[in-house]
Amino acid sequence: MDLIDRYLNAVGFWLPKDRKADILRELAEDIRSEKEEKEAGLGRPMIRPEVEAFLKMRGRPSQTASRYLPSRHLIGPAFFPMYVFALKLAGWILLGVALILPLALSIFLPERSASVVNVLTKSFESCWDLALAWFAMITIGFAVAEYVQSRPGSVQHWNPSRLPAVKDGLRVKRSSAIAEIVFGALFLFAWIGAFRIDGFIFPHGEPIRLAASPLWLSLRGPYFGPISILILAGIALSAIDLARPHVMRWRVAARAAVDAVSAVMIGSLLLAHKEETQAALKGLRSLKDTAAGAAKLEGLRDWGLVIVLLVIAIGSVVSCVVRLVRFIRWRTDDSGEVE
Amino acid sequence: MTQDQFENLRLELRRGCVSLAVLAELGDERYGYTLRKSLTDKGISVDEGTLYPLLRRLEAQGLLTSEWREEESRPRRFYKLTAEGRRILNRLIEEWNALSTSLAGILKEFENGSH
Repeated sequence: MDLIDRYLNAVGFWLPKDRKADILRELAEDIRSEKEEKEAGLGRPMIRPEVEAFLKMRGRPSQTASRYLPSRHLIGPAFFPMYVFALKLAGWILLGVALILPLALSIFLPERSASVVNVLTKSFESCWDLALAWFAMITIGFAVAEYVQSRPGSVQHWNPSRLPAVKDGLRVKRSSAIAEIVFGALFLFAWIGAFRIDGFIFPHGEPIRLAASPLWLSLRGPYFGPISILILAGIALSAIDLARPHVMRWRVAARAAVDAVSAVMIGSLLLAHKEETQAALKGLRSLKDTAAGAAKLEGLRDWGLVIVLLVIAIGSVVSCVVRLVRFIRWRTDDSGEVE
Repeated sequence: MTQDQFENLRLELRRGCVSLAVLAELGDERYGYTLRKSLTDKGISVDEGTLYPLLRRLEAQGLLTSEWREEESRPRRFYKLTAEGRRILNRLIEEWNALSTSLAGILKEFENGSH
């Protein structure tokens, strides 16, 4: 009887105190009745391995006890998809902030310079604490929402008219295509020097001439042709999107290729001018001691240029990955409609 | 379809019948183990992890009563239907008969190849 007593004791651990004795009494009676019937069939008492197998068939003690408890959940089926979405979003943000950004900065800032392995190890360590904190906050937030929503008397307010419009993932929005063409053209004009950045600025009533960044001028030199072609390719793809908004697989691939080449070019461009890039990034710290004037504006200009290029490079990488995933997953259903 | 998939659907199908079968069997007073055995002998096997919580839920709903009594020198908990339980059972039987008739019609159509 030792194993059975131990089993009942383990079940009892999980039962509510007010009903424990009653439930265990009934469960004990059932187990013993069934055991007696089996032993009557065997014509002898069950041996230990047989008793073990007999109890295993009944399930784990916690599982047996759970059947007597009311069904409860921390985050119910209504909120669970939103909870998973929030966790995924937090995960992606954390990945970008805690891993990609330190890696990028370690490449361009000498005082942060370290091997990739060291950077990733340190980033992972700090990322872990942040990830745990975010996981806890998101879980608690949704658990509270579940509790509030499940209370009797809580009225669910929702209006079908306020649901977001259906987005057709296979059509490019006209406004997006136009915006891409406009910004692409502006960047192209700046790139080819069609309008100059030189000009006078009059802060505090004192005229200051702000010239184009030397970094910008040196970047344009060797990569002028290839980057011009890239910008034109981007504008051309946006124009096709405007004329034919229905997305095609080959255009997804073309966009991914343009993004990949852009990221590689900007990255190699900045690396080729590593010293100027590092000077521009480091320069921000000393700017607070610099008197307002041309020097300060120039420092901000150079720093801003490097940051913009870094953001474009990182954005291109992310965009390329998203488009590649879409390209790989692209398939049609039996009717020929794209899924 | 894999064996697991079939088992899951089979359990789903049987799950809905257990409450009705238990209420019908408790027209006569029984204790848990004999109830389980009786159901199994009649083709509706229910494991104790399902049966006992169900008996408690039905008792909490006022459809059953129970009392502990000593029988064969062992304490046993005996269940039987209440008046409300009998009333609900009769309604469930009508509901079951109606469902059965409808389902029989659907299955007959399928077997005759109408779909």
